[in-house]
Amino acid sequence: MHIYEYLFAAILIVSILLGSSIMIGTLSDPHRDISEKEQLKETAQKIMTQILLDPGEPVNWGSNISVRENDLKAFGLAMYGETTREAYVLDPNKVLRLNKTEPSLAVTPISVLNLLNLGYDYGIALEFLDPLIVGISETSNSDKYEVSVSSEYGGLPVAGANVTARIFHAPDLSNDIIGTNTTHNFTRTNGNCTIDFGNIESERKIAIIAVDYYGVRTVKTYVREQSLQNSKVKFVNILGNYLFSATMPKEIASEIVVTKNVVSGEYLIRNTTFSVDTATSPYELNYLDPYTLAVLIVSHDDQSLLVATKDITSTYSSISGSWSFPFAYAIERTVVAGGSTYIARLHLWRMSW
Amino acid sequence: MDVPIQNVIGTVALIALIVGVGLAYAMYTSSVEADAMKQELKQIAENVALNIVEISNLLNFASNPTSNSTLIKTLELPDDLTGRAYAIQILNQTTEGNGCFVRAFLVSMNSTFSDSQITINSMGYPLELATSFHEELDVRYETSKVQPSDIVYAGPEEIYDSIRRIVVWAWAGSGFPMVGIGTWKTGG
Repeated sequence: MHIYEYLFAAILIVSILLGSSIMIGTLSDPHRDISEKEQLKETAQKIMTQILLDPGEPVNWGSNISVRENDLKAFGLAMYGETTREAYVLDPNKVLRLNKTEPSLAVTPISVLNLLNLGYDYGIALEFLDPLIVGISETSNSDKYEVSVSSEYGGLPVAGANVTARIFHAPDLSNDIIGTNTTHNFTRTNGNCTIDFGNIESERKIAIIAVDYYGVRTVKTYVREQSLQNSKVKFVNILGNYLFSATMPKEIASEIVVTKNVVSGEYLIRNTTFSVDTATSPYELNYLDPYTLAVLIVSHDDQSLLVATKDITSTYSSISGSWSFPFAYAIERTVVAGGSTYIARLHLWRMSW
Repeated sequence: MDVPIQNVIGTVALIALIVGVGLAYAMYTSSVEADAMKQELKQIAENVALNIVEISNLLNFASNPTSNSTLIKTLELPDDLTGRAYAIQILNQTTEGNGCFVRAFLVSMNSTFSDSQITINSMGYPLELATSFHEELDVRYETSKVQPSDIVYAGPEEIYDSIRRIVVWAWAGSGFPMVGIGTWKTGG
């Protein structure tokens, strides 16, 4: 044999090795991809179960403001009850502590990842969305509003949704908070309906709108743009029984609760008054109904109407400012918080491979 | 017959190359196989960890602190991994800072393993993972009992009893509730 023939045989053998190696790698890649997606799915289910069904430890960490993030022993958002427990019922105070609260009381994503034992292996984003998108617009200078209801899935209009609304206002030169009559209407085929309260003179007012569609309830608050611009209405934070406000409030607060009459199916938007301890900040309400949607109180300093809501719609992410998660696996559940229905959506992605 | 020296060198080199290529190919395929095994083991570990989290939460809803209650869920896991036996172990390395996790590994090659974290990461959490001895658990309407263990094995039928099922269990009574894995021989 000539030297070139040996060389040719050697090149052929090495080529066969390389070719087979590439083929094996190529064949195993799709299986690997599927397997990794399946693992991410199971991990997402595991995390979602822990977040939505476990109350965390201490169990009242949402409303107990003496519990800081370093005191948490386990993370979970479920409502804790000594006698009765319901699956997928969340404590709104725990959700509010994720990012709609005072910075000193917020629970950071890195703490959550550590409490879930995920370390730096995964990134998460947790979204709380309304299942019904409720749009409210002013149709004139008077208190006549156009309410539009559409589905979170595809934005399709929702016809026949039961809309109940009531305005609460503090008349000029008064510290009392007065509610109008409750108004009902049903959305038309285009998903819209009109709610007319006539003309309420005061700028210190807020509309509470409860939308029900076959048991799925979304409650929204609406403040006119003019009232916000003129600082007649200001939003403040609430956590448990504590009100966080830069200005000192008056001693009497109105708590807004939305209830459904089980016999007639009609919604009621009630307000009850309770006293507030204004001696020290944060200001403590002497009682708060667990289903309170909002607390209204007049400011002692500038007479503005202070509004604190327990609306939990938000996005909480381990990547700050990120609203899109293209490489993540998403999983969602329907949950109830404070009597309202929400969609809880978890996005999970790997930070390392 | 005289054989030129270059032919001898060439033939020996070619044989050495064939042997070398064979070895390299065997090493590469075994690494690909180990990688595929790790993926399979990871899926098993994730599935067991998910079931532990689910059953511990279910215990929160179902348990009555004044009486003993036991929950058991049988796991649908592969009998073996391409004819090889594997093991599942629960580990609590909270003090080392690694938390609690499920490890799945090949019995014949325990360097091939995958871990899945259990979402409980504190010594103060009011739930205990059974990583040591625990007495047998009764199963309602059955005479056979669940044998808790920190490590369970699965493998070919000739080695491991196929009637025996791998389960996750949760128990609440006096003291901290406990969760763990174990085996249950059905048909008792």
